[in-house]
Amino acid sequence: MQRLPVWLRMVLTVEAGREWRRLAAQGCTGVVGGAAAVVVWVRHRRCDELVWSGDGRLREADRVAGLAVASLDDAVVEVLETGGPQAAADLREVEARTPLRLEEALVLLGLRRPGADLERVVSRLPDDSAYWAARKAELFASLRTRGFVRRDRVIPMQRMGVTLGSAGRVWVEPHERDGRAVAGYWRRR
Amino acid sequence: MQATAEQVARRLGTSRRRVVAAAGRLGMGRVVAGLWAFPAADQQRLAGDLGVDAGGPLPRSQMRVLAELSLRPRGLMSARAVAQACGLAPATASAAVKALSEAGFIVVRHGALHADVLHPRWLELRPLLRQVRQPGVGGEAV
Repeated sequence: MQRLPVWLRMVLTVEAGREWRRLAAQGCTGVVGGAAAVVVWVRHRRCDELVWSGDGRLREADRVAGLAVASLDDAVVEVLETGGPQAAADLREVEARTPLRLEEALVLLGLRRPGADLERVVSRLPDDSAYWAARKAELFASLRTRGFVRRDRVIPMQRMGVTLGSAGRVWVEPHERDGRAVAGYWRRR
Repeated sequence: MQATAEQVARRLGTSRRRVVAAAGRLGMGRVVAGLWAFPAADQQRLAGDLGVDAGGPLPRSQMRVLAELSLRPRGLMSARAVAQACGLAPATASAAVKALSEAGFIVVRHGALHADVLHPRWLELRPLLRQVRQPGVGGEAV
């Protein structure tokens, strides 16, 4: 049996490492996925159990020390589906250490499981910290917003020119003209 | 730490002219010995107001559109909605959406514009897209 690379030994427990070497020596065709694959790609903690990836992966799996490992995108989608405190901790590390954000992970989840209830997935994330409270609000907002973003009625500040004050212009409030809404604008006196 | 207008412009991926114009509009920064100086707090406010463009292989407007769509699991309904979400002019956003659709970066699913996160070049673009910040939107999402 071939030795595992040092970095991989550092992220697997002794038992998980031994299992990895045994399966690699046997030529196992399974694909490591879920939390185990996240740990392999992000290297943020030790993993004590090998998790296997399901069907319908979006990206090609890579080969690591004799075993196929699901891509980070697929692994994150599986962790997102799993839920639970450990999954939430893993997802937080993914957001902190990689450019993958949970909004994009929800896009990937929607592609992998077209019937998935994305609101339910988000609602299962924990509320116990300021981080998740803020992120859940952002995630729900990203799911709700499909169309226009309503902006507050704000009078835009004029660019400082040679002339001070209103530079001879007046602000016209938003109003209706011929039944159509007209946004506010600056016009000459 | 203070930064000059050129340094702020380089960090935000924009021009010195836009930085100085925004500083004048928002009443930020000060002129010291003929040079603009921006403390850290003003730099943050300028980043929020002007947005941050990370550069990359695509034009600025296209990077902004892709960055926005990658964070919308349900997509955006139209090029005008994209324009508003990204702080771009409707014509610019429309041209960007058209170019991105032709390049395969944007697909239409369920009647909405979506970023194609499975595009072969997506993983190359993702780190750059995460650095993009849209200009400040002072409103509530609907």
